[in-house]
Amino acid sequence: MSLLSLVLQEIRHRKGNFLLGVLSVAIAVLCICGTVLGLRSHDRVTESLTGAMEAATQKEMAKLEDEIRKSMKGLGFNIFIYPDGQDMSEVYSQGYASKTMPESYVQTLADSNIVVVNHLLPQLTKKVKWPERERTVLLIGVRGEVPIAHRDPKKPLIEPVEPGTLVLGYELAKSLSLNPGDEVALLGRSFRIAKCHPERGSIDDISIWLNLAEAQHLLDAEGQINAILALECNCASLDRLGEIRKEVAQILPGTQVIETESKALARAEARNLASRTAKTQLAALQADRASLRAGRERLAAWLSPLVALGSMAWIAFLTFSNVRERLTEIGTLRALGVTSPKILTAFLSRAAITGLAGVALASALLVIAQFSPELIQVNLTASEWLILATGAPLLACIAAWLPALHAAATDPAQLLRHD
Amino acid sequence: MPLPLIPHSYLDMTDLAVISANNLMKRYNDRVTAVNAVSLKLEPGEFVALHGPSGCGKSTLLMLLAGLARPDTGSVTISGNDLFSLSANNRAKLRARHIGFIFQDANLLPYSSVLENVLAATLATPRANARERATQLLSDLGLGDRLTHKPRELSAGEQQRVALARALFHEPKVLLADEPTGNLDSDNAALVLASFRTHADRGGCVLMVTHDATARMAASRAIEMKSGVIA
Ligand SMILES: Nc1ncnc2c1ncn2[C@@H]1O[C@H](COP(=O)(O)OP(=O)(O)O)[C@@H](O)[C@H]1O
Ligand SMILES: [Mg+2]
Repeated sequence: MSLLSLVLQEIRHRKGNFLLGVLSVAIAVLCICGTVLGLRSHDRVTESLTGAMEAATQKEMAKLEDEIRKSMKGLGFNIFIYPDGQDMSEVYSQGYASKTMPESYVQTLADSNIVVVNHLLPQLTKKVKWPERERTVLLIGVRGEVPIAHRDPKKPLIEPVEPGTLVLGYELAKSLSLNPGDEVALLGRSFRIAKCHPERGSIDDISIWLNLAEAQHLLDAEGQINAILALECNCASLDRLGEIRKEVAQILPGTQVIETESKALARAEARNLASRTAKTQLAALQADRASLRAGRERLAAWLSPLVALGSMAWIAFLTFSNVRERLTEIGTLRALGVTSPKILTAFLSRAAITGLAGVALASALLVIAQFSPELIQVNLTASEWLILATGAPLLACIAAWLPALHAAATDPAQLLRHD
Repeated sequence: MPLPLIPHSYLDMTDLAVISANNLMKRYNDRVTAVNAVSLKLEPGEFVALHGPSGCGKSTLLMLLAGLARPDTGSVTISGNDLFSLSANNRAKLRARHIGFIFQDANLLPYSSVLENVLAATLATPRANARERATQLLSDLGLGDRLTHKPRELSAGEQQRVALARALFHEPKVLLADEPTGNLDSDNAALVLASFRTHADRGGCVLMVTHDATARMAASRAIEMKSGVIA
């Protein structure tokens, strides 16, 4: 008879005690695996959540950017370039700059390699009294487009006003009963009315457009302009104004660039907001998941050792009660000449078998759980299985150590007394 | 670690006591002197009955002789080996080979079969053809058809016969028995006593604690013990 067969026979005889030990080990193993696998599945869920969110955000951003690019292509956007040192609050309050700059600036810009501006329109604007008619009007001298040197010459965007003619705003034409073809006097000169604009509901309705050179002459500002209007500016970057400012500043230092409001700008803003919001949301999700994980980790950090210790205490208790039950048997074996180390080995083997059986039971349950992978995904590595398969019997042995030592060390004479 | 045992040829020399105790003393809790200055010698072929009132120290003496308890003073020599100068492991091995112990209760392993209970003797020290030897012993004791039974399926007398087979398994020089017939009917008691007689006749020696007059009659010599002292 070998020691192992003695141990196995005893286990078969006292199934209850053994099964309680096995169950306790299995529960501890399942608990510890559960927390480890739970953390792992948490990480998997986090990855897929943030991944999905990132992908969705990227798609949405791409769509928005695409839309903006398209709309900007269609709309372009418009900027005003104002003279150096112009007080912008004055521009906003009276509608034009009172400072002027040389008209040659337009040519300088046109001759430069400016890439972001498509059309350049110099103008000289001033609010004046129309002495002949006793009206206050906005006089706008325009020259039509200045062709940009490095581009193909293209159809002018705005028809220039012919010398000797005027274009009138709606309100002026209507209230003064003026029509195209009529002759009128302005600041002592005679002009023919070339065109009357339809109603615009803005200051345009009391504006008079005339040829720039004539306007300069009338306003005593030869060779001067007070604004350059750049139309249909396009650029790849979404920070368009910054790009244009940079480019214009290199060519005309000191000038000021103002963007007039456009739909494209609003969309670009919307896109920036959406991008910021998405980034904030993603960060919030990640922070949320991280704090959840930290919580789970904290729980695992004290739960796993607690469960392991609980199981060990339980095995120690079971071994102790097994020893108590077998005192006469131990005494008899000692009387037969069995050494105390062998007795110790017998009890430790029993504990090791309990641990192994517990791991086997837990593994079987985990394998069964694999049939419903949505419940739990058992993805333990080979070395983790090895740690389980050796760790559980080892801890069970450690737990059984004291009671087994007690069994081996007790005086056999005491055990065999019966009186 | 090789056991410093004296060769068999030397053991068989009849002038040598198989077991001898010299001035044994054992006190419990510094108050009870269970065994007091006991010296005794058992020679091959001797079957000795030890009797005396309850609590006079008979069981304690047997434990000391078997090396299961350590005396406060004195020594025990078995087949020329000073029992208490051996290491615990070697003492256990010596016990396995040279001492058979029988108790009032059979003290069988409840989870093992009759045959395996006898084979439990091989847990201490191996033996060639163990299964055949155990089967033979059990058949000789009338248990040939009970080999696979569990102890709870046997009567007290049958259980004690299994314990006897286990004690005789390694052909020990010394048989120590503590009231072995105390729980037995007369037939089984007679069988056990006859086995002791046979063991002694074959050159072994038997020390049997008993209250029973019939059992004492079966022995070749009787020793009386009183208050830890041999009269
Ligand atoms: N382990 C022990 N602790 C204390 N006293 C003991 C112990 N074993 C035996 N004794 C005492 O020693 C004396 C002898 O006991 P024992 O050897 O069992 O006597 P017997 O077998 O002759 O009845 C008794 O008084 C008993 O109470
Ligand atoms: Mg007694």
